[in-house]
Order: sequence, then C-alpha cells, then structure tokens
Amino acid sequence: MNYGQFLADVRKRGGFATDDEALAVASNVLMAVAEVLPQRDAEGITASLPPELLVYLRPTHAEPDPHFDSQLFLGWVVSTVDATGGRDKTGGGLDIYAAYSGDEAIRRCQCVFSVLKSLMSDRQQATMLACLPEEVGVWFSAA
Amino acid sequence: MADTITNDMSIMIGGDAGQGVESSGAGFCLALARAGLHVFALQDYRSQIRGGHNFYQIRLGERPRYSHSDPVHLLIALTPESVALHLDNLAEGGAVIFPDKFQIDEAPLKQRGLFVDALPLMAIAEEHGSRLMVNTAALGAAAGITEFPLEFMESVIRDNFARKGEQIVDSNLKVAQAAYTLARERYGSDFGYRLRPVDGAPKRMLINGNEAIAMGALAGGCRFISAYPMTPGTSVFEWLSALPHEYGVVIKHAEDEIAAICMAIGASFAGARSMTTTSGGGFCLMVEAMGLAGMTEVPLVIVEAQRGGPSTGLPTRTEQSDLLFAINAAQGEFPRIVTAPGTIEECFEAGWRAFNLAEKYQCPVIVMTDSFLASSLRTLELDAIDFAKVEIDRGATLTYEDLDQLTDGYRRFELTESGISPRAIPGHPKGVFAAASDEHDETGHITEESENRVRMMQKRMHKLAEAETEMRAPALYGPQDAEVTLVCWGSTFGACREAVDEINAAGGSASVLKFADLWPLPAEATERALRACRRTVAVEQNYTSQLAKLIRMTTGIDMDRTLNKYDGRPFAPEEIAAALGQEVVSGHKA
Amino acid sequence: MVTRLDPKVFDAEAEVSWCPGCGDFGILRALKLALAELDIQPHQVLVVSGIGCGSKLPDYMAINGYMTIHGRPLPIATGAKLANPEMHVVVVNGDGDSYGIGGNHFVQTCRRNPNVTQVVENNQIYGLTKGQYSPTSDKGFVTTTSPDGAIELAFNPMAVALAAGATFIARAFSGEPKHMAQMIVEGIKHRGYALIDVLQPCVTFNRVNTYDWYRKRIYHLEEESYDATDREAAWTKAHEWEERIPLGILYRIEGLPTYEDQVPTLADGSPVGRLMELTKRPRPEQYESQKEQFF
Repeated sequence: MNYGQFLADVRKRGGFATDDEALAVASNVLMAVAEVLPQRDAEGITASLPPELLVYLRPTHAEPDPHFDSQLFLGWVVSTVDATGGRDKTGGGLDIYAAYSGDEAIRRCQCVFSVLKSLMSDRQQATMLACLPEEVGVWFSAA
Repeated sequence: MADTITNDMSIMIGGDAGQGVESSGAGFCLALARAGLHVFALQDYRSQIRGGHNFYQIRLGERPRYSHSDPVHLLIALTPESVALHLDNLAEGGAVIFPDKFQIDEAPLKQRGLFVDALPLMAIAEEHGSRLMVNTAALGAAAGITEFPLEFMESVIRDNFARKGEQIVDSNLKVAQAAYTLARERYGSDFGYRLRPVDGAPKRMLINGNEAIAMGALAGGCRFISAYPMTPGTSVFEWLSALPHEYGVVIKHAEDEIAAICMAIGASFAGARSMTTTSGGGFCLMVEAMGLAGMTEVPLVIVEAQRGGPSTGLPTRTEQSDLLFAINAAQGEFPRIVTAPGTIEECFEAGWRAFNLAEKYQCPVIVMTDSFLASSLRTLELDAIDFAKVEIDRGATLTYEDLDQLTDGYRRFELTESGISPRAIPGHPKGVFAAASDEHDETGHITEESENRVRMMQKRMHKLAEAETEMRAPALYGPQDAEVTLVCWGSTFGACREAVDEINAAGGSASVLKFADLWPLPAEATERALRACRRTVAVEQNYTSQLAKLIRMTTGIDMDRTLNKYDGRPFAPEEIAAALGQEVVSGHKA
Repeated sequence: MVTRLDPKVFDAEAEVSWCPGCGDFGILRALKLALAELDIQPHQVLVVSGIGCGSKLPDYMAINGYMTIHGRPLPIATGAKLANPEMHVVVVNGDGDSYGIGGNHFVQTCRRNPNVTQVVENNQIYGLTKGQYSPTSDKGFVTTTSPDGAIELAFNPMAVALAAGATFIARAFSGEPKHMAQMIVEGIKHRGYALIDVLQPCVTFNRVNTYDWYRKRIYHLEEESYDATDREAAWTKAHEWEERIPLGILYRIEGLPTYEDQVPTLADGSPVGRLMELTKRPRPEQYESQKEQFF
C-alpha cells in the first residue's frame, strides 16, 4: 500500500471530507504512538508502512515515559476533533461538542489503527499492542 | 470674679499637621489621666502628613466621659488659623493661648469675653531649649492658666522624651516650667476654669477603640493577622505587630486587601484563629473572599473601621455608612455575623467574642467600628479590660484526640441539626478533606445536584438562625418610659448617652436604645424593645439611616424620626439635644 | 518511577469533568507520583487551587484540598503555611489564575519565598469559560475575545519569576508525566517558593499550541551542560520560546532562608500548634502587662 492509498483508506473509513483531514488524524495518532514506542521496537513495526509515515513514528524517547497513559494518548487525537461550535452558547455548561470529543477521538484512533493493522503482520501487531497504554490497547485490538 | 468651675471643661489644641498636635494632645490627656481625671479625646486630622489644620479636643471631668463636648473653654492655638476656625466654638469666659508672634486681631475675641493672651511661647522655648519645644511651652502655659499642678505634665514629659536623652528631657522641663510660671503670673486666679488632681483616684488607662479591640483579639487567641494599611483600621494591626514575640502572634502585611483576607482565610483553614483589619475601601476588595469563607465555612474575623465614603471619601473622618453593605456584601446568600461595639469596653469584648462566634458558627464575623471610636482616647478603669472574663469557645472544632476516635470516614460538611459540622484541622490522617468554593456535598466534593444544593443551603443558612438565638437585645440606657428614645449603634452611643444625661438633668425625659449585635438582628428582642418606646429617633452618622432601614426590614417598625450627620465629624451631645429641640442646661454654660 | 508510597493512596472517587485527553490528567498523575515518591501522606499535604479547569484538581485527589476563588490560591496557601509550617503546601492553578487575575500575588510570592510549591497548568487559554485568550497566549492568538489576534505581548512567567526573586523556577510538559513528576519532586524538596510552569495543550480550545506544537519545540536542559545556578544563563533560557522551548530547572538557588524561617514568632511554635493548646480560659496574668503602656 502506498501513501496515497493509505490516506484514501483512512479518509474512507473515517468518513473524512479531505485527504488533509485524514492526514491530520493519521499523523496525530501515529505521533501519539511514537510517544510510547521504544526505539528498539520501532523498526520492526514500521517496516511495512509507507515511508512517508515514518516521520511521524520516529520514537520520541529511547525509553518511553511509563506514565504516558490513555488520556495523554487521547489528547493528541482530540486536537483533531472540531470540538467547538463557535461562541459559547451553553451558558457555561459542558460544551456539547467537547462532551463527545472523547468518543469521536477513540473512533478516529480506531479507524487509523484498522488501516495500520491491515498493513501489519500478527507479530508486528502484537509488538505494537504491548507498547500501547492499556485502554488504547483495547481500542487497538477492537479496531 | 465669677464662680470658678473645677475639673469640668473642654480643651482644644489646634495646629497644622506636622506640628505635633496629636502628641501634645495625647500628652495632655495622659497628664490629666495621671491626675485622676476622666478624659475623652477626639482627634480631628486631615489625610496628609504635613499641612492642613488638625485639632485635638479633650473633654475632661471627675465622672467618666463618653464623648467630646462643645463649646471649648481653653484653646491652645499653634497657628493663627486655629483661632479663626474655632472662634465660634469658644465658650464665654474661655481662654485662647497662642504664641505672641501671631498676627491676631484680639478685639473680637475680647468682645466675646474671652481671655486672650499672646504669650512669648517661642521665646521661652528658644531660651530654655529650642523652637521645637514650643508645644511644651503651650502645654506648660495651659497648666498655668488652669492652675493644674505642673508635676503631671512633668511626668509625661519625662516619659515621652526619655528615649531622646536627659538633656532633651531637662530642656523640655525648663520650657514647661517657664511657660507655667509666666501664665500663672499673667492670669493669677482670673480664669474661671481650674484643673485639680483628684485625690485617691485609681490608676486608669488612656486607650482608644482600636487598641481595645487588638487587646481583646490577643486574649481571644488571635494568632494570625494579615492586613493592608488603611486608615482608620491600621492601628489594630500595628498594635498586634508590636507585641513581644512570645505571644506568638504571626503578622503579615500583605500586598493588598485581597491578599490580606486570603492569607487570613488560609491561616484559619489551617487551624489558626485569624483576623484581618481594614476600612470600607479595603473591605470592598475583601468581599469576594469573604464569600469564600462563608461557602467553605471557614471562621474569620474582619474588623471594619468605617470612614467617610464613598471611594476615598473622607479618609480620616468618621461615618457609619457601611452597615447595610457589610450585611449584604458578596454574591449569594451565606451566614455572617456583624457586631458593632459602642464603647471602648465593648471594643475589648468584641475583640475576643468575635473569634468565638466565628469558630462556633464557622463563618465570617465583621466587627464594625468607625474612625471616631477607633481613634478617640478615653480613660478606662483597669478592670474594664478584664482578661479573666475572656472565654475561648472553639465550637465544634475537633481536637486530634477527637479525630483519633473517629470510626466512619470524616465528612467536613456533615448535615447536622444545627447546621454546624464538626471541623477538623488539616493534618490528622483521619481528618483529610477537601473544601470547595463550588457547591459541594458533605465530604466537600463538588456537585451541582439539586437535592444536595437545597440541603447544603439550608444547612449553612440554619447557622444564622442558630446565631440569632445568642445575639444580644438592644440595650436601654436611661428611664424605661422616656418621652423620646434615641436609637443608635456603634460610636454614636457616647454622644447619645451624654445628650440624654443632659436632657434628663435639665428636666427632660430621654433614653438611648443601643444596638450592638446587628446581624443577625435579634428580631423578637428588637421588636419588644421598640414597642416599649414612646417616640423613637434614629441617630446615625450616615445619610440613609441604615440601622432604621435594617430595623424596618427585620421588624416592620418605623422610626418616628431620624437624625443624620454625614460631614465626617462626630455628633456632639449638644448637637443631638439641640436637634431634638431640648433645652440643655449645662453646668458650665454661661 | 518506583515510588516509596503507592500513588493509589491519592486516588479519589470523583467524576472527573475535564475534557477527554486534557493535559490536566497528566498533571494530576504527576502530582500523585511526586507526593508518593517523597513519601508524603495525604494528611501531610494541602493542595490549594483557584478557579479554572485545572483548579478542580484537588477534588480528584484524596488529600487536604482547598478549591478557592479566582486568582487567590497563593495568598491563601501562604496564610496556611504561616499558620502551620509543618504542612506541605502545594498550589495548583492555571495561567489565567496565576499570571492574570492573580498576577500581583504571583510576583509578591516570588519575592516572599514561602516554602510553597506552585504548579501552573499553563495552556495559554481560558478553557473553563470556553476559549478566550490568556496572559500567556502568544501575540496574534485568535480567540472569541481577540478576534483580530491578541494585541498584548505574552506574559513570560519564567522571566517574571526570575526578576521577582524566585528561588526555584522550572518548566515541564504535560505530555511527559515522568519528567513533570521529577520537577514537582524537586520543587517540593526545594526550601522556598518553587514555580513549576507546566506547558499543557488545551485539546478543546487551543488549536495552535497542541501536543505536536510543543513536541517540535521542547528540549531538556538536563541533556545540555546547563548550570541552573547561573542567573544570567537562566535569564537567556527564560526568553527562549519561538523556536526552542527549554524544559527542566531553569533556575535554582538553595540555602536561602524561607519567609517562615524569618518570622520570629514562628521560632518556638506555630499558630496552629498553639491553638491546639488553647484552653477555655486563657491565663489572664500573661496579658496583664500589656495594660502598662496605657497609663
């Protein structure tokens, strides 16, 4: 699968309007993965991915932060969700879009995960699963 | 020679700011107090360090005095302006002492039957000491003209100048002696007002309201005070700051009034008996944080010494215009207690009682005074400040031993019948809790759930109903069935009391009903007291009759009349009596 | 980090109201880790917060907490510390709370040097009121109250703290909880006021300063030869922002007395300690001598 096909796949599965939007989602999910990917595992996992994506998957640390959890992971992806509808009209209550941004972000993670999984061997998938924070792993497995 | 009057007069010292009017006045007062006389002294000064007319007005007598009084019988003028300004307030037969260098037209003064004498005070000061000692010369002359034995002035001079060395003390003593001798020579026994030491009089304190509040606070266990300087509240803070360290009172001059109240809240949350002190403008800044103390049920004592408002207003002058503000300050509804001592004795009690009320009801307590009460000096019997009467009541505060016994999880805001929840001091493993300015549940956790909100509002507000049961009824001074009753709160009590005494002495019939516990206003007791009055006149140092409004709001009872003063100058008894249309026959009126 | 105390002792049963993925989660986690690492028990710490999303943090922890009013946690914490110096006092508040409405208290606290640790959740935006620019928003930042871009220069907490005399100034990133926890540990260990400014994306309202934006700019001072006691070097580092943003301890000076150290009345005990000894009737004779000044 080449880069273009990858983006088209993410766009289709996620129901995104443009390739740019698909790339924003995919890149943020991959960058979040990079936060938890130990250097030693990176190469094995990325071997079968389009090379254009590798820039996002470059591990941030030799040893990932053991306290990087699913909420932090989610933070990278929530940023891609259009959580605000403009000026606040909720009178200070919970923002109606932000309230669902978590669910939407998980959905986005899973759509990227599913395209990734289609490119990975079982072993690669298992390696990646082991790196992910617990809850993220659940999303990954279910994708 | 007309009859002479002994030990019953008013003395005034007038001059520019920076001329030592205040220290001369305080020195004179102390000499009088040491001679066994009762003194009440009003300070009138402008909000500037130098320049501008200041005066010090001393009322003295052989019985306790609760107010200044007009007219004045002896004026010590340190500037020509002082003579012009106070001419109308001089009693016939009174005297004016001033340095001979002043260009003063003596004719109109003499026409009014005043003793006028330009004394070479400056020359005396320069001859025996220096120009700076002209005030000492004036005081010496004042003692001379009234035949007041100089030894009392001398003892004060010794104490006041001791720090500056023996030479300064000696020079001042010489200056005082020379002026005294000169005045005695000039006047002989012509002046109709005399001052004599009172034999066998007990030792008395000369003290103002702020000092009494601070002493009360100390005895009441105040161990933390944070404040930002603001006249006339500052000296409470300064007095506690000057204490020896052994008393363990931690003081903090904060960056502003917001920080001041917040530090006090933080210290109180941590477990210390804490207070802050300010005036109306600073209190404005404290209001939001006071709401925090109300919501999170943190005990807090705020001393609000009122001054002329609005805004900067009359910084050094008196007013009672913050009462309804204090009762209503901050958004939302929460319990608070407002008390207003009316005398210096009451200031002492208010100082310690406020901490008990604050801890008992776990809420802010505002002690309202005003510039007049805060800074006027009065002689006080030593036992009027009775430390043995001080009680410490920490209410439902839990000791660490109490917490040791705890079996269930601790709930800081536990619902109880009284609305008062057992309060843990943070630091014990079983007393861990978080409090929030948001609405919260019994454990302190934030929630907006409706039923909980209703319960918590009821819990907090119920404390107000509990507090009302121990709020004191207004106190009646004077006859039960007086024709007219002056209704007042706070410092106006002094002038009302003196006015009523004079009216009754002159054959009239008047009384005073004084309120000290203002919020929650004890409704039943207030109603009972007012129904027993024949005609009521609310006497207040404000424009809008705030106590009268509060009474109407609480009881539906209207005052028959209101008497208001808002020029920043305290009521004089004569002023009140005159406003009532009562003839005052004063023993020393010509 | 293997901590001396199980961080779970700080867990509370409360529904967290932060947006999914909020940087505050990382800060909450780091604070628990830091306290556990220092073996500070829940009853030995008081966490004071102000108003803002992140100021709800004490509600989500089992500790002594005080969620106060906007901008005021520093003076409240200072008062608590003066009343009970034995208590560990930590302030947690946001950039608007600390550097905007509470700006004066921030400056005064830096020069006052109480032994209080402050963790600022700096997301460069007002989140609780839904997206208005904050004191630390960069010039030109577009929000509902800066529709044409923020006109003011951004507030520089590092430089202001340094100029005001703070004795410990550090910066962390909410995307790196382990490092943040280390910064908090060092801050609490520091005797004196410690500022830990935490860069934190607001995933809902700040679409400029995202995890990605920070990740591309941050670097660690610990990985360079950097002397945190060098005031001039700290001044330079405090002004790095556009291209590279330093994390770690920018400035640290040990051995200076704290504010409490210099309060003479605290030498022999604290107000809280003395209050616990208050009896119903205090000995009158201890106060009687105070009357002498009046006659």
